[in-house]
Amino acid sequence: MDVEKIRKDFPVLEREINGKPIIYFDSACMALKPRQVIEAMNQYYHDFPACAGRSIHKLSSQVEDARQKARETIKKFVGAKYSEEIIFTRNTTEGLNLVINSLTLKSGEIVLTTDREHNSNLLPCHMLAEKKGVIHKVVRSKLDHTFDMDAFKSALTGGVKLVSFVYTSNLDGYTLPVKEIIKTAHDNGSLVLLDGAQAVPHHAVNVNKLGADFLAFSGHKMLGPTGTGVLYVKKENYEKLKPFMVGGETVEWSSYDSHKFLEPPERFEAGLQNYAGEIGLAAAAEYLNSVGRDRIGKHEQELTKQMHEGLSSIGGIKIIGVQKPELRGSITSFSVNGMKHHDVAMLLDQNSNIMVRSGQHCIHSWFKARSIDGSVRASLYLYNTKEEVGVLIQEIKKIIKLR
Amino acid sequence: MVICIAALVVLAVLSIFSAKYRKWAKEAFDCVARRVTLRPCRTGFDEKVKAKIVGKLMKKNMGLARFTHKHFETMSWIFTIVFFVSLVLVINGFANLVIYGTCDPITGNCIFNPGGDPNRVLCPFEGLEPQVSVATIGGFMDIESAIIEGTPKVYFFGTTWCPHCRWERPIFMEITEKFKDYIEFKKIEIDLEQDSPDISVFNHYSPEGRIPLLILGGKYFRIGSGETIGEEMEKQVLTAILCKITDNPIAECKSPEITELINSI
Repeated sequence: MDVEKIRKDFPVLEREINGKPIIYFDSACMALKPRQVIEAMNQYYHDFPACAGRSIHKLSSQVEDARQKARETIKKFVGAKYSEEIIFTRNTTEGLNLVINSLTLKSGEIVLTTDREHNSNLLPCHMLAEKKGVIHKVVRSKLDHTFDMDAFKSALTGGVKLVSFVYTSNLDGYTLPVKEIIKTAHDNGSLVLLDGAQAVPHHAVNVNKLGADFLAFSGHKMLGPTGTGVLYVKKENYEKLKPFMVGGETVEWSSYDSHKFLEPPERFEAGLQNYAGEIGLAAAAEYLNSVGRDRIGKHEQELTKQMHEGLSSIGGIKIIGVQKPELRGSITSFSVNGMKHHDVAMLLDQNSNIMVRSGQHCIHSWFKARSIDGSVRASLYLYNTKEEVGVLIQEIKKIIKLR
Repeated sequence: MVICIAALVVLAVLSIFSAKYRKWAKEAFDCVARRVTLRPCRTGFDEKVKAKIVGKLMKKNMGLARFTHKHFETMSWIFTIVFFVSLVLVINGFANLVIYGTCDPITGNCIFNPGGDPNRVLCPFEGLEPQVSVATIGGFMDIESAIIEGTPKVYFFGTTWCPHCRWERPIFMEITEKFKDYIEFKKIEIDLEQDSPDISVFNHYSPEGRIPLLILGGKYFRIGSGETIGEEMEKQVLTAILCKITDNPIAECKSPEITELINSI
């Protein structure tokens, strides 16, 4: 993988701030955008900035074609069977909310999550419990922070209607044994919803092979535009979903007291959609395909190993979450003993334009349960280099002397 | 939190002149508003300021950077307290300047010269030409070139509302009463007697209109009361100068304290 060639595709990496280049280690929050994505979006605004579907003129047809092509691209990107299994959303959060609120779960039925869920998966479960009396159960991790399959199996009972869990954690980049979890859940008759926000951008995900019922992910973490996301719904599961957001473009017709919904996915895409975003998202998927997500994953693994070894060699640094770098994908969360995580992050930014995330990364529940204030999170992607990781380690060595 | 308060005031002033600081001032305001309502600072403004300072120090002096990092909160408190004390003094000085025409109406001294350097011509009189005066006892000025002829004229110029005039008036009246046979005494309340022919004398000695103004024999004068030296000392100073301009007509002029003061004039 030619990282230098890849970096040339990202205009922002040409920027210098205070005479220094940018070192961007916050891709778990927001990935940078290649020219190809920006140009694809610009093309929509330049050449055919019209409505899709609802109008029948030439520009509208062009938008509709581009949209269907985008849906087809995403279908292949995640290994779905049918393009109608792809619903465009605003982000992972919307996809997760859509499934959790559209499944007609009843009081006393159980939703199972892990103890490392992003608020976007955790809070909808809280709301289900509050509004409908659904029982929300949490499967605790093992002491080494990996997934506890035994605990999961014993938590699975006939009452568990939905298993909703994170595919790859945004805390430490740990990828759960998804295939085994799905099989076990299906054996119990439970549906499985995957939070793929940190997985899809970094792994070659094939929903068909995994057998997942639902998979939600975001465009902005996979080089795509902000405000874009995808919800994959296995075709046979559509009948289990009752739309919770309805309106324009979701019905064939309506009268004063009745309506007829369109077939999926349109019935779940209410209101005017983010056409430029969807086109940009497809361009991002094509870009990642052209590089190869396996190669990206391998590159990230090498950098994560380098970062792990470098940080571990400094006294006073604690790696948060799963310790083995080979299990951690592209994310390294750490804390500096005796220093606040925000102080470390700001000094990295101030001194060397190293951009990391600090805080509790929307997994407050995990930090709260362990009485940890937060962490500094360095998350990598295909455009990061060994030299950049080296600079981070050197800067941390300087910062730690402030203690 | 602490640094936000000081930063808010500084940045609010700076943002009047430059849009660049408005965003920061807004952040500082948000930070202060949230902290005083017991909520965490949303923008991390205080942390940003700390990182900016410590980051710069790291490049120059690691020891200093470490000290600043560790004691930032304490340093912020010291800075903030010093800042606000200075601010109060400056505002007070400015208010005095507007109301009385001097930053310190009590002594007539500038705020930067609180002790009153006796060898220095006091700042309210700087540029007061053609009179060339030097400081003498009790904050009085001595126009060295002036010669007293005939019965010395003694003036008290004040206003009914001025608190320093109120302090000075009874003391001045009490002392001048002792010399009533040897001086020509006039007390003019400027706010009531704007048409007095003696206003021209006032304008001559206090061209900027500062009060209270005490003129003894046309040679010695002072703008401001004697509050800083205290009532007892003020009485002695006034007695000594009046003795000097009237050739020691009363017995009190012979007392050792007054004699010593007269010799210092």
